[in-house]
Amino acid sequence: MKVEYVNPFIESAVAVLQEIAGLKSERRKLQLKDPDSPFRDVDAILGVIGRVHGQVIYGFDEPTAKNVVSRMMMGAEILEFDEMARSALGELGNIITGKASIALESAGYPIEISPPTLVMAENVRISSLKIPMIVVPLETECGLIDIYVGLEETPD
Amino acid sequence: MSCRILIVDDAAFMRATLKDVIIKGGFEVVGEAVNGKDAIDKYQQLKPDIVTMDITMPEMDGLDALKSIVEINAAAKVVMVSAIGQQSNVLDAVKSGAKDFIVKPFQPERVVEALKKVAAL
Repeated sequence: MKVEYVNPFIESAVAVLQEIAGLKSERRKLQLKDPDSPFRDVDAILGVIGRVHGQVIYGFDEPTAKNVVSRMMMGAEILEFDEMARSALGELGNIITGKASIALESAGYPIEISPPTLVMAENVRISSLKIPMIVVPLETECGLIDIYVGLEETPD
Repeated sequence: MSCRILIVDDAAFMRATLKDVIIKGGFEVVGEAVNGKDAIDKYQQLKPDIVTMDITMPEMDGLDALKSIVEINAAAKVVMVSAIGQQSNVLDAVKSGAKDFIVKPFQPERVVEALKKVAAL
């Protein structure tokens, strides 16, 4: 797992959060994710295939997720995660990952990404993840957003 | 001249956002589709003047749907609206007959401008 795979996602997330949610964010220190630790309460999961493959996951706690979605929807109050709110969060993951994929292609790693899957539950563990993940927390006005990147080069 | 538009995107949020932008831009939204297969069905049913087409969608993606729609009607006007703005995707879409490619996140003016340009083709 190379750090050069991670940076495009962080840079993209900072830019996209500002652009579509008017949200400033500051990156905290990157860490290796403990494979036994759970993800967050609301997670947007995207699969990556191509020159590198694996998963990218954007994790929120529930109030943070609601706040971010509210900002994406012109300040509308989000009382529950209906289809509109869920799709907004998925789309956020899709746009961040899409923008990162442009940078990865330029760096020589063309990828394709899957539609987002949204998981909402406490103590989420995903057993199919075999690639070690790096987590980068982004500090925002709405709370912490964790970006988990688990990618490795695809053998020729 | 009223211009009828079909919106194709798997995310309800993005369909609502695009619909708002398109209506404010003075166009008519004639329908919405949630994946590539649905897009082909609705294209034949509704005969829109322009289609906005996402790429990453379940069931059938937007590039395959674009190709099928152009096969149905070689003069079809399809504008891609996708987060996947990698050069290879843009080239593939344009070669397959897309009239423009808008990368998400987009500015509303960019969408309206593209639709006006494509409507005039």
